[in-house]
Amino acid sequence: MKSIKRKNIARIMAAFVPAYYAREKAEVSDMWWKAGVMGHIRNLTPFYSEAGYFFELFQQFLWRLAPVACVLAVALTFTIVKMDFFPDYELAKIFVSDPKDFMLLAMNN
Amino acid sequence: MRNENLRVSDTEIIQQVLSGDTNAFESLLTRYKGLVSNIVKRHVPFSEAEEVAQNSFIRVFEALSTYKGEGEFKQWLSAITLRSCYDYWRKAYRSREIPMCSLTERHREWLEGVISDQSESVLQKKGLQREAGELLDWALAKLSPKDRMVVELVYLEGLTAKEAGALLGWTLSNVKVRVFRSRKRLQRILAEVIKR
Repeated sequence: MKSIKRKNIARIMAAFVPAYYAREKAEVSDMWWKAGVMGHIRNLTPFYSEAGYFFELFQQFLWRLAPVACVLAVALTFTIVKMDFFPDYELAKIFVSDPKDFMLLAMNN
Repeated sequence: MRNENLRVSDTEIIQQVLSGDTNAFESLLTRYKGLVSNIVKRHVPFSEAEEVAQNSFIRVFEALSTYKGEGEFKQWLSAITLRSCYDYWRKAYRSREIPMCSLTERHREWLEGVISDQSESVLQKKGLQREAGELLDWALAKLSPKDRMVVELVYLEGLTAKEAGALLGWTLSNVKVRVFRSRKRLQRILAEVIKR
């Protein structure tokens, strides 16, 4: 098997250099190039000043937390219904000693 | 001269972009399009150059807040572009999508001509210039992405191991080991051509 000596490798690499730099001569169409990059960049989250940073952060998380809030509201309603929670009874309990009587009185005027 | 003075510095443009003016990035794009395009065209196949160049600019935009202004912006941008090229080869290597041309007698003739010390003009006269490019592509396609980057930067662009390491984000010893290994591998790969 023929081998290539170290000095020959250096010579071959030197001979490759013009071919390597010739790659630069190929023209890349730049018609949509700039528009493509700028279009993508505009869709990315922009940079903000320090003052607006927290506001934007809050806005981002607010929307992410919206479904969680909905689920919590439904779960809470379900729990209240299951616990036999009556808001008027609970409210009356704060003001009168026997809310049961209060309710009956209220019903009979 | 006047235009040079009026030219807004890179740092000023970066500040504008960071303070929310995304459109200011277009100035950087216009200014460095040529540089990025040339780096990419040297390192990835022509058909992929446009996409890799676009990705490089997007990566630059995303990393803009990490640019501390130490060193030239051009250098920082070149490093990101080179890493995008390296990532392209890593992806191509993993998916085995490396384009490889077939070699002919003319490629062997070119290689033997170089080894037997025929000057560039003699080879040019023989019309073997295209063969040089094809043989280079063929040999590089047989290297791993890391070895390829090292060969291109150190052997073909003439950078020092330290400079190549700084651009690729690799340690000096890592680059040195790669330089040695890739030369050995190239010796074997090119010997195959002569053996045919």
